[in-house]
Amino acid sequence: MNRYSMFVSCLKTGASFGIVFGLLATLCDALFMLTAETYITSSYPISIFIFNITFWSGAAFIMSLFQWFFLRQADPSPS
Amino acid sequence: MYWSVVFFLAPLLCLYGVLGRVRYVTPAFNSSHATNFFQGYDSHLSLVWVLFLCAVVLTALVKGKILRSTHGISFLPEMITAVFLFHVCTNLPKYSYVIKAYHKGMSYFQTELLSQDFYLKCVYVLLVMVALMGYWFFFSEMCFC
Repeated sequence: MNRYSMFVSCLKTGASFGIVFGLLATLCDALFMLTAETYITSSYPISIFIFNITFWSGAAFIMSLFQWFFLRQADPSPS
Repeated sequence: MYWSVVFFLAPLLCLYGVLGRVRYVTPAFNSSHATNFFQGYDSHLSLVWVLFLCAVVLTALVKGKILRSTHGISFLPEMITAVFLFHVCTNLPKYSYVIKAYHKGMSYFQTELLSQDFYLKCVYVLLVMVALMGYWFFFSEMCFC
């Protein structure tokens, strides 16, 4: 596996982790809407969906960069 | 797939757990509350349980007892278990139906058999065991590869 395909593989893994965890965090945040005494705005579901997907994808992107740096050092073969 | 646990699963779960207590982090910038920063931080041991879960998953992957691919959807059972642990460990006294069940039970027996604090500790241990053992016996074999 050359370095480019390794980089793409790391990014794909990060994207999948970020999107899945963002959806899960959205689901957990949305549980607050179930309580009757909590007031939420109509834009809250869309806001938490966009925020969580963006935030956790961004965090996973940074983690995928760390993974790529680590794997690049572990595999000294030239690209 | 081992690296997915080290580089993605464990950091994402730790970040989720730490950011869930961001209201405890904020007073650290205030000098009057600086001494209380670590006092009581994660006193419910949710981070410890989640790190234990990550260690179990990593060991099981190395020994080949569970099968996972590198994709995030493959680790969905671990993520759900960890998020459940975070929510239950931290917010247990805030669940009104848990407290209502205690009062209903005490009124049924017409006596205070056990204190509310001890009751919450028992529920905590029960739910953590249900989460961890339920994951291991029912969900660890699940593979969304």
